[in-house]
Amino acid sequence: MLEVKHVTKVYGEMNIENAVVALNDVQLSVKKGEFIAIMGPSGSGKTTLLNIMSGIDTPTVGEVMIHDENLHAMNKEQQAIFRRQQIGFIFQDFNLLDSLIMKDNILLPMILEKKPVDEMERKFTELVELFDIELIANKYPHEVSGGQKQRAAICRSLVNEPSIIFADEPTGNLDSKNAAVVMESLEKIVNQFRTTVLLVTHDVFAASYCNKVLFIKDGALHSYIVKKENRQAFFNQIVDNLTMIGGKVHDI
Amino acid sequence: MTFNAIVWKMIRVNFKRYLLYLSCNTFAILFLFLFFSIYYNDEVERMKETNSFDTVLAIPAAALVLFIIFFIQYAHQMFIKKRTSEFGLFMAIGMSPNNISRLLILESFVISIISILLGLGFGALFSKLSFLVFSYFSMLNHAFFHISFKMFAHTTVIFMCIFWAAVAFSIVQIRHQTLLTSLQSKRVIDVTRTNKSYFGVIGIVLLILSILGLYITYDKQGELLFLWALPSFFGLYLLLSNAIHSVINVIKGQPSLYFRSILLFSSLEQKQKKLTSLLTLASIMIMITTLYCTITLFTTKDEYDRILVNNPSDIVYIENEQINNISKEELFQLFEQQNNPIVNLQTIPIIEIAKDDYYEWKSYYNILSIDDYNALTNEKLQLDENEFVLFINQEPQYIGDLGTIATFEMDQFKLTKKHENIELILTYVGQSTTFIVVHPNVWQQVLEEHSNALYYQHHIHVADWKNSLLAVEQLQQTFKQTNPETSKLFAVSSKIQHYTQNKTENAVLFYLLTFISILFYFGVFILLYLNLTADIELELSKFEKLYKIGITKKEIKRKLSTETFILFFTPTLLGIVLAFLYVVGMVQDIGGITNNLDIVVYFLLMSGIYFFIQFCFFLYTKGKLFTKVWRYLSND
Repeated sequence: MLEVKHVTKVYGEMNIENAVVALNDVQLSVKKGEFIAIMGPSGSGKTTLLNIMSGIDTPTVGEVMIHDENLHAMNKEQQAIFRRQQIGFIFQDFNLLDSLIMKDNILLPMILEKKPVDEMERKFTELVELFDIELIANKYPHEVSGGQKQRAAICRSLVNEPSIIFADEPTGNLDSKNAAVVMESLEKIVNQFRTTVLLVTHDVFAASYCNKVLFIKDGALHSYIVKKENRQAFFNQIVDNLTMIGGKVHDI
Repeated sequence: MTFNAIVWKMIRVNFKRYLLYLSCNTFAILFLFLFFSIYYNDEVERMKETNSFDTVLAIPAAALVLFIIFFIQYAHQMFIKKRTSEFGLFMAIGMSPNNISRLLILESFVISIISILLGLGFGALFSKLSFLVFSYFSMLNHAFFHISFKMFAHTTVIFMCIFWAAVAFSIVQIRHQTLLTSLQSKRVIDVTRTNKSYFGVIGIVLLILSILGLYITYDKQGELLFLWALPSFFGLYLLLSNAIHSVINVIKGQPSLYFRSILLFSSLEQKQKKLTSLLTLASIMIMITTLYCTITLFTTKDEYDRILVNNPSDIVYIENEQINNISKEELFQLFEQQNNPIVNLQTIPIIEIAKDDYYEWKSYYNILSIDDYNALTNEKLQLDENEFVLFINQEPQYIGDLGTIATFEMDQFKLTKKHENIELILTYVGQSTTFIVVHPNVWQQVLEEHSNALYYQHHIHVADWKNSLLAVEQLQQTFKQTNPETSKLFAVSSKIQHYTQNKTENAVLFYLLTFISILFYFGVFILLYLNLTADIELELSKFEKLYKIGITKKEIKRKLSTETFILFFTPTLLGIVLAFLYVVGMVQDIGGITNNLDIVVYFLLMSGIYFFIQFCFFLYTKGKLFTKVWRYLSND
């Protein structure tokens, strides 16, 4: 469902001495229902790759296909509509609007899509119950905890029933307890809705919830591992790989 | 590094922020100075004594002071808000509240001094420029422009009081704030959740009562205008303070409506506290601008018509045995020499009788022969010797119940009124507008008794009254030569002199109000523009978040456009409606709105102009905001 074809991203002018190559000829294929983490040292190009795959940034060379549609061949207007219909986003800093209560924040993609009110209400009830945030529905973002904000952001990413969710360091601003809740929520999305989830993280603990981890180094895909046994074994495997490519490692 | 060195380093780093703050303060001083340069102008001061200009200027002056207080306080809060988290950080690393206060005082001192220098400098320059523009169109004479110490002093003192009050308030606020609230100041959203709808009801009641009050009392006590305006403005504030919250609450009850413009409503709700004062002030300024421009246009036009009505003759003077004696030939020759010949001369012999009236006041009566009266009015009235015609040389609407009499007694005569004529036929001259028209025999007998009370009114019509100024001055000169000590009663009265004097006064009034209107136009625009751009960083971050989850360019444009539209046109509409209600109240003393449809036309013209200008401002602001947001999102 997601195809990344020969994507290169260069900051500055290509073939000029000072140009910085953030991504170098990346090729990637993601199937429906996959739960993938992208890991790598700081500055390896993880977030750049995620931004390009989600249409927030543009590649210098190459193309990204989602459901056989070339994301970067679209104009900005089409891209925006594609993003809110087909893609869900989860950000490290939650990306919630401070002026809206949590309920309105969650429903925002549906509101932009001008969905009927009863459909919004139904979806909202379903999601807040699933992620256990009914009690904070009428609160403003500054009145709730980081974990609750991120669960609300997950709900928001799901309201339009996207086929793929991109998460950029979703546990980066959270303590380990809240990080676990958020990762379990993402796991729930994959298992319950068969939604593809692609996340970028530094956190081995978070990555261990995924089914597959891609390692990126110096802008190129370095290697990948697939979860075969339990989460502890997968965690250790990730640590080993990270050590090999020079990433940050924390205990589980 | 010393404390002062840190302050200077910070000023250099935050230069842009300081520049905006400095510009706002400079602008406030410029505004104040421009107003005072008019308010304390010698010509205007002179007119204040004669034409109740003080009452005319009281409302704009009060609105301007309100505007300056709001503007300085607003600019200051904007500046402080951006720095609160910075102060929080300083305190977190060990700076004491005293250090922070010192820092703020030092910065404010430097900013206030630079602002005063710049504001007064630009103020003097702009006031000279505006004078040049007006004198270019020959609307003002050259003695009009001057700058006095009083203008500089009042501007500086008022600015300093408001500025330092704002600084003191901030210092108290910062000292009472906890470190946490300082650090989190950027993230907390201030939304009012309590509903005090009774305030809104009180506001509406105040508004209605004050306008009704004005409507009922204006024809008797016009000076109450200012007193009625205050509850109107306060009522408007109360109404607005509650309206935004109430309207949004009602809309929230209709999710399909609320969700359609959720970003707009949430943004308005978030800004409502700030918006209440802003919209009230902008509405008041727009109301004053529209109202004053309409009244000025109307009175300028009305004054011209009034001069024509009040001066049926072009030139009038009184002659008695000793004063203002000139032969008919000389008189004709004098006008002939100026190529403006006399086309009609009416000389009316009158005997002036003084009688003790009520409270022993002296009342003067002009005794006129029926033959002269008939010649004057082209009538053919006949009178018996015991009858008289009461002729009051005034417009009937200004007479009321006073002035009419049924009988008239003088010497041995007891006369009964046969006929009454209240009409303005003659240019007012002499000591009375009441004429007792009598039989020629009676007139002769009265003359014998009061031969020294005989005088002549000369009413002259020339070929071109607008070019009669030189001839009038020459006539005055001739009379002065023969009798230099003449009283004001014997002065030559002419249409052209009234016209010229009126033109000058209207020019000053026009200059004054155009000036205030331009100040207010810009004042309102800057307030609204600043409100939209002050929190632009928050707006940019909001749109960045929305853009990531898929808001389109069109949707961003629509959102910005609607919010700007509401902000620009709500006060315009409120101000214009309020101005109209005031116009209706203020024309009560001249026969009400139905008898003065001219003023409605002027009002529509002025509000049309305001709408047009506001529309241009709106297009500019909307375009500028969108470009800023879209450029930010595209570069991101």
